[in-house]
Amino acid sequence: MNVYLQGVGLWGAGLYGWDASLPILRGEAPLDPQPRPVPASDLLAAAERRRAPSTVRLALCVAQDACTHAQANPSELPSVFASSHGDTEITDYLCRELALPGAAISPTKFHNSVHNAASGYWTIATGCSRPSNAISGYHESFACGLLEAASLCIADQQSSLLCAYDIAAPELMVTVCPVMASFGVALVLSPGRTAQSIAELNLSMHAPAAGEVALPEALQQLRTSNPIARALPLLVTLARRQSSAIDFTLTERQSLRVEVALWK
Amino acid sequence: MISPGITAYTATCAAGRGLEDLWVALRSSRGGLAHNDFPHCTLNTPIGRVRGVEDVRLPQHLAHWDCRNNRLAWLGLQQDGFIDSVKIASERYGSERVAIILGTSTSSIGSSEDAYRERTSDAELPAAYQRPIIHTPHSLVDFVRRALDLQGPFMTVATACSSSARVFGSAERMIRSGLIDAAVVGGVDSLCLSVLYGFNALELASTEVCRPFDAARSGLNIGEAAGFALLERAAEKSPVLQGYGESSDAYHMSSPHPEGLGAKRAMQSALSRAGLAPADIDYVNLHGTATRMNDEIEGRAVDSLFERAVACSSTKGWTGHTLGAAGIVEAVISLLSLERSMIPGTLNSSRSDTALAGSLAFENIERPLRHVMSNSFGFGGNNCTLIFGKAA
Repeated sequence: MNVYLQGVGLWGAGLYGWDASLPILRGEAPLDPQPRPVPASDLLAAAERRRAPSTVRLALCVAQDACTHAQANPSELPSVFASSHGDTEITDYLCRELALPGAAISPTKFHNSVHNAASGYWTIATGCSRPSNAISGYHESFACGLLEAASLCIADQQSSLLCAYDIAAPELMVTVCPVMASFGVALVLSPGRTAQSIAELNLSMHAPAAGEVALPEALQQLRTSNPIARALPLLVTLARRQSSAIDFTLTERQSLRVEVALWK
Repeated sequence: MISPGITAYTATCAAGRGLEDLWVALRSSRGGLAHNDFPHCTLNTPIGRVRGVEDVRLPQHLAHWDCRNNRLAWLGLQQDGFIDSVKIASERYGSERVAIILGTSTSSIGSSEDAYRERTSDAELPAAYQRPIIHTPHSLVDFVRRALDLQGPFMTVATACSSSARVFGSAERMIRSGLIDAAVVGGVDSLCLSVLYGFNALELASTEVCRPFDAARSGLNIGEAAGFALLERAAEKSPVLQGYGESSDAYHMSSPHPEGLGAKRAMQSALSRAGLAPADIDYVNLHGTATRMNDEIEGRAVDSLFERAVACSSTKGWTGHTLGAAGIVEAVISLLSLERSMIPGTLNSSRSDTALAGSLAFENIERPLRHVMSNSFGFGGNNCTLIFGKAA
């Protein structure tokens, strides 16, 4: 499956924005993992900005960034939102309240608990009537999301948006949802090469092969503190501008192989 | 698109375990909704509970995935020789060429709820619940993939009430791309306190048995279900997935677009993909949750799309709203109606005040069908319409 990468959005754990992160991804600058609040998105009206959960704010930030980078119109892109654990802050809230007598649940928090909350807020904020999916693939949510976004892109011959995110888990959940730092990445994919394209991605299913893209030391901890950071080998490859192949292990016998070809 | 054959399908819900039980329930107007006896829930609302889930025991090698949702999944898999059908497909194509894409909205959150309720410390969950896989949306797919030993691409779709309808489109695209030859699709959602108290908080649940599209309807009932279907690239003598349409309302997180624009787009897109006109559809299985708003708006959308009134019904009176499993359950009911030539009526309802008052089937109608449409519209304005056709 061949698709073209048009733009990247990035936020979290020391990587704040694609352009600003390039020297860090190349190992030329240090990583300061100090968390920064997600910038308020101008896509959301003031009331929505207040009510929007952390997952939604993170997802919209990187999705918007990728679209800007790609010079793509958000309202025209079908999208795939991928997250390993979804909104663990709301899960924690629901479970705490439900454990108490009376079980008083906030209706707003309940409708925000759906895994497709970010997808919903995004399509509302951008006025996008195109299809929007919300998925999970556990630790490989980024890879599964990439496959779904590429599949959408190829099947209907139209650009698509992938937005992958996971937030730091609340204390009570962190042993079962081990996400220590919030992180999100978004990609805009195109079925054909344009002047905007920064790389060609070829996706196939493959028997797992040895060899991994070496990550700068600063990024190795991020790699284990958020499942979406499994995108790092791809991001590092793009930053280094070195054509390379990356395997995302899916099952006992197969990986998703992404061959990256760069020319600019 | 291509038209993958649906070579096996099954559903287990409050109305019946497996196709024959479900078919008897449909034919004899035997609904599955009953008094709420779900543990720790004191709400006065009928529920669609599947009997016997608590008694299910998973095989030893899958014990790590044990939770209510996965027990319901396992129960569902045992019906209608589904596991054997998947095994045959795996052998034919190679298990690397069979994908698994399932929908869910609850996944195993019931286990997280139990863990929080039983905790004795605020620093960590009880040891018995320290199994990460049961606290995550992907719990279901991870369990079923291992139960069926599938090695192809996998994905959990969690778009609320459209989840297990969307899986069909994702599978078709993947088959068409050449990455796979077959896919297990479907979904499982189970009763849990989050959805029972959540819909109650939104004031969308009824204290009565739900009456979709009825003038006196007062809200939905929550149900649970497990359903699966096997899609294959080319299959003779099987019904086919003829079309699918997906859209977003881009309106509000829990209210549908007032003109039903997103719903209409999804239906139009499905027709377009299927190469069909509205007049070619013989029956529409409506989303029909029995909330005042969904039914009114869906009614308007369907009425405006179909110039000539089309026979339609909502079957949620049998099953309740099974949320993440609604798509597959109603796909299975649509396939049964297609293959056995009967339009199920709208159980519990008798008179409508919606735009479909003239075309709703309240009672079962025996009639040969060529093309059946099924709607699933979810929170966040996530819409999906499927079209099924008879074997070529």
